[in-house]
This record gives sequence, C-alpha cells and structure tokens, in this order.
Amino acid sequence: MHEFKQLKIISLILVAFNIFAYLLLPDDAEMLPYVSDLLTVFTSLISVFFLFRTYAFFKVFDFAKTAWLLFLIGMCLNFLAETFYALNELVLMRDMNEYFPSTADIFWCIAYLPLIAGFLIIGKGYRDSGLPLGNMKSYSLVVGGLLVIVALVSYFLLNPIVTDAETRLIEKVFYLYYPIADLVIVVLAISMYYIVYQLGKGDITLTWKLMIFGFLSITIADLLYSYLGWMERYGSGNLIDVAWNIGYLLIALSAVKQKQIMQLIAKGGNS
Amino acid sequence: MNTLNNMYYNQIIEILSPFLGNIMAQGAVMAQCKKIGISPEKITKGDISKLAEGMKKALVVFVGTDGALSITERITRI
Repeated sequence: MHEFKQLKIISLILVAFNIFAYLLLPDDAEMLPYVSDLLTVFTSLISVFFLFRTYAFFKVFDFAKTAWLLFLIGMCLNFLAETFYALNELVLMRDMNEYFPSTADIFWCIAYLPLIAGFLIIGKGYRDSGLPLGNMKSYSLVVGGLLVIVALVSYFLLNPIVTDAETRLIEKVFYLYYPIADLVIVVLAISMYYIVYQLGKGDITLTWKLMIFGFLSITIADLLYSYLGWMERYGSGNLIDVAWNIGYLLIALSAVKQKQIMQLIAKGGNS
Repeated sequence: MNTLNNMYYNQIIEILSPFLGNIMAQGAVMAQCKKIGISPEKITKGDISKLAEGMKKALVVFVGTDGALSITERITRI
C-alpha cells in the first residue's frame, strides 16, 4: 500500500484511540497519564522518523535541504521534550503543574528556534525565486488577521500572566516565552499558507498545507496549554493533547508527501 | 488550463503544472519571460534554456536542487 495512505490510516487510528481513551477513561484513571504522555512521545517520534527520511533523500545540501534539516532538528527537540516530560511524570512521579519549568521545557523552548529558522529559510528562498508574491490587498487582509490574533493572545494570555503577582519570575518567563514563540510560528505558518494558496492544487501544495496545519495544531495546543498551565488547570487526559498528536502526525504526513514527490521526479514521472 | 498559441509555452506549463499548480506555473513562466524580455506567445526553441534556468530557482524551493535540475532538464529537452 502507498506509504502516504498507510500513514494516514495509522494517524486516524491513533487520533481516534486518543479521543476515545480520553472520553471513556475517568479523570483519575491510573492509565490516563500513561496514555497522555506516551502517545505524544510516540507521535513526535513518528514525525522525527519521517522527517529524517525526507531530509536524507535530498542529495544536494541546498537551502531546501537546510530547511528540512531545521524542521527535523526542531521535531527531535520536541521528541526529547515529550520524553523528558513523560519521564518526570510517569517514572519520577512529579506533579508537572508544580514542577515547572522542567527539563522538558528547556527542550521545547529551544525547539522553536530551528523551526522558525526553517520557515524563514523557505520564505527567503521563495522570495528570491522570482515566483509571484501576491498582491497588497491580500497581504493587508493577512496582516489584519494576524494582528487580531496577536491582540487576542496578548489580552487573554500575555497580559494576565505579566500582571499576576503570584507567579514566580522564572515561571513568567517560560509562560510568556511559549505564547510569544507560538505567535511567531503562527505568523510564519499563515504567511507560508498564503504563498502556498497561490500555487493552487497539487502535491506540493498538499505537502505544505499538511506542514502548516501541523504546526498550527501544535501551536493552538501550546497556547491553550499555556493558559491552562498558568491557571493550574491542565492535567493528563485534557483533550488539547489530541491537537499535539494531530500536529505531529500532520508534519509526518507532510514529510512523506514531500519524499514521494521527490521520488517521482527522480523516476522521471509527474507528481 | 489556460493555453496560448505557442507550443513551447504550453509544453513548459504541462511540465511545471503538476509541481507548481497551473496558476503558479503560468505566473512563473510569465515572470521569466518578462525577465528575459520576451512575451510568452513568442517563446522560441532558443529561449528554452534561459527560461529553464530561471525556473530552476523557483523549483529549488519546493523540490531541492536535484529535483529542480531533473524537471528543468525535461524543459530543455522540449
């Protein structure tokens, strides 16, 4: 069976399992933290695996390969973060609402850097390619939409965190870092989506749409987690975990599609 | 797909469309034609290699240098 189709089916099974497990297991079920933590470790590992295979398929070390390498490094760091989080909660039995920031947070924070760099490199490459950049009216709409998102996140999340006297400074730094870095990812992902939207239909468009929605899914989960975590209301079995898993799996699918396109080109066929 | 009364233009679009999408492929060809100072309706055999070279830059973004070379080689063989 086609690898893309296989991974799509596996992804649907994993997401369905995630949702049903969370809906059916009681909140205090012993199994819940294991499902919650190990599933995100597994899905992040899937994204790392397929990103590596795609990165390795590029023969020439050009900016495109560099961008995919940066996405791979970012996802590796996310995988390590998920693993450390699971280790802390499941093996060392730490209450992750109290044990914040943890080792996992350091890896998550660093992970944003190569991911942002990857998007910037692709964006620069596109700008230098001579391909149409779109029109001012569309950019104005996109910028307007992004400003609304930034304003909402600032009002509902950033400002309350900054003004909260009960939150320690180190916690504030991390609580603020995440949504700010996530906003940067959202801006870059939406900008990339606008570029891809101009391409119309095609496998390349699908590759990037999967990647973009993958990152958007992760950042939405991150923003909700930041809010819930600051309110100390996040716990294992929260449905926002599904968004992380969906995000990792969409990125894996993007990598598979990209490799498929390059394999087809190498064979001399059409996408 | 929008076609012009130019065999080379149509064949280039046919090669590029599966990767860039039809709209972007047309945009890319028109942009390259403008760069080398010709209109898409007047593409000749002699313009193909210059157009292919310009296309390569566009394709590298999405399929890397090796993929871009492979596709542009098909364009130069028109």
